[in-house]
Amino acid sequence: MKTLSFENFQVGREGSKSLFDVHLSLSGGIHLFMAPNGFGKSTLLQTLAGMLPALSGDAFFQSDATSQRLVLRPEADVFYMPEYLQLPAFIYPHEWVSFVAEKPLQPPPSQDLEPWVEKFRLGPLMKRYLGRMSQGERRRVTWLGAALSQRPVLLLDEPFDGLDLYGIEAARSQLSAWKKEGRCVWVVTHQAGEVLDFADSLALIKDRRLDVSPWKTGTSLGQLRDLLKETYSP
Amino acid sequence: MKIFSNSFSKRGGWPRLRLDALSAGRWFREHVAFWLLIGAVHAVTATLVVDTVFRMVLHQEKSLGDVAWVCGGCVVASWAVGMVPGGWRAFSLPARYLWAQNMLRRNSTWVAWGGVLILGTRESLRSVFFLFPVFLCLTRSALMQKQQRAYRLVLPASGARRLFADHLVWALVEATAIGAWFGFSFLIAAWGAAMGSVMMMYEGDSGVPFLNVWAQIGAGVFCGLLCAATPWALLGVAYAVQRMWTITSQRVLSREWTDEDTVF
Repeated sequence: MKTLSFENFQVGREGSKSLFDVHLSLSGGIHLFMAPNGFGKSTLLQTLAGMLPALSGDAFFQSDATSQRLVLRPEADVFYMPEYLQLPAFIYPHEWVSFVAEKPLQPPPSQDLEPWVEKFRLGPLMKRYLGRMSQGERRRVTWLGAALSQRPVLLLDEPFDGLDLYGIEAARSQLSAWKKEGRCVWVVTHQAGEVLDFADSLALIKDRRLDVSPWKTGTSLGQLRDLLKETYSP
Repeated sequence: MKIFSNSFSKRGGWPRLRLDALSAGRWFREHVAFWLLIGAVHAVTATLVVDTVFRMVLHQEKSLGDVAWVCGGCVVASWAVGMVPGGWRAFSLPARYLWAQNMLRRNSTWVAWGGVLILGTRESLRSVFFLFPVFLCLTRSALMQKQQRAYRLVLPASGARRLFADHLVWALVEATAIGAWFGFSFLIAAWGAAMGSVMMMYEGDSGVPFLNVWAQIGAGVFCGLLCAATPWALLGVAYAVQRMWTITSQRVLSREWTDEDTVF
């Protein structure tokens, strides 16, 4: 079982005060991570993705129960899907997907891509530059990249933004597949209803700490709303 | 914890650099190379025009270098027309999508350019055909830059009015009038030609854009000649413009009205 854990891990922007400390250990599965706007959810994901330095501490990753616990290597262990997609404008989807999946760049049509392309309904878009796609279309391409990435830790920041019903359906099926594979998936989303039925845990930031909250798979949206109100009521 | 590379960070190592280089190369090809190519095409056709005007209308012999400078200026000026507020956005689109997909893929474009070059070398025909490249350059760039079709879709009720009132179209009318002035030598004919071509411009870009350019040229030349023969013909041309306005102002209310056959 893949496990992500933290020691004295402090998150914040360089030169400013720490936003919060991280105190948790998460095994493989789908982990919902929620907090009100401005609490630093994206900052945490960017820190784990290696785009920002942690203010202190380390994140560790253990690929299975028998293996050694090692410092998390974002460049090898983490796939990050940001909220705002800034992709190279004049790149075709198959090129970007090959890049994130760390595969050699091959000219299309690539046989191994086809089932995924079909799943995310990207067929007609594969010959279009990323810069000429809508936000929802680009989101589907990033889902395709995530699906083909072999990295064990996936950090998804608002991954349902811009997706249509078919896109959400494909994304949910992909999350379910990752869960079966035992990959460690963090989902930051305000559309929690899309993952409630198979999320394994819920992490909340409270009193400058990120910690796991009491949680049962299958919690309803109403119950989640009550929990959030209770946690963040002034 | 160190900052590491990631698929979305700027530090993706060699693969990321390669991807960015690929994107930058394509950007250059799409934005710069195509505009330069089109600029060269415009400059060549404009050189033909201006050289003819100098020799046959103004009776002046100019060196090809001088003419090329004038034509370069014409090309820049025609682009500058598109750069005025509202039009500049067109330049953020790659030229390939503005020109190549609409014009260069049509055989009629190549036939027309070939025709201009061949007929342009025949002294006796130049005075008529010099109007062609003027229309070709200005009409197409003006209309496509402003994306007339988008006017119809975004502003279905007032699209045609907006288009007609648009500064680009008026700039085109003036350019046409100047061209017609050289071609027909007096003002009534010039305005007849300009109005005739504007009348066909209403037909717009409804699927057969190049045919529309031909129609504009044909209507402009025909109306110009008619008005040169008798100034009263200007009234007939004015009626034709009003008639075309009536037809197209209805047509733009719905795409279902778009029918070249009706217009022609």
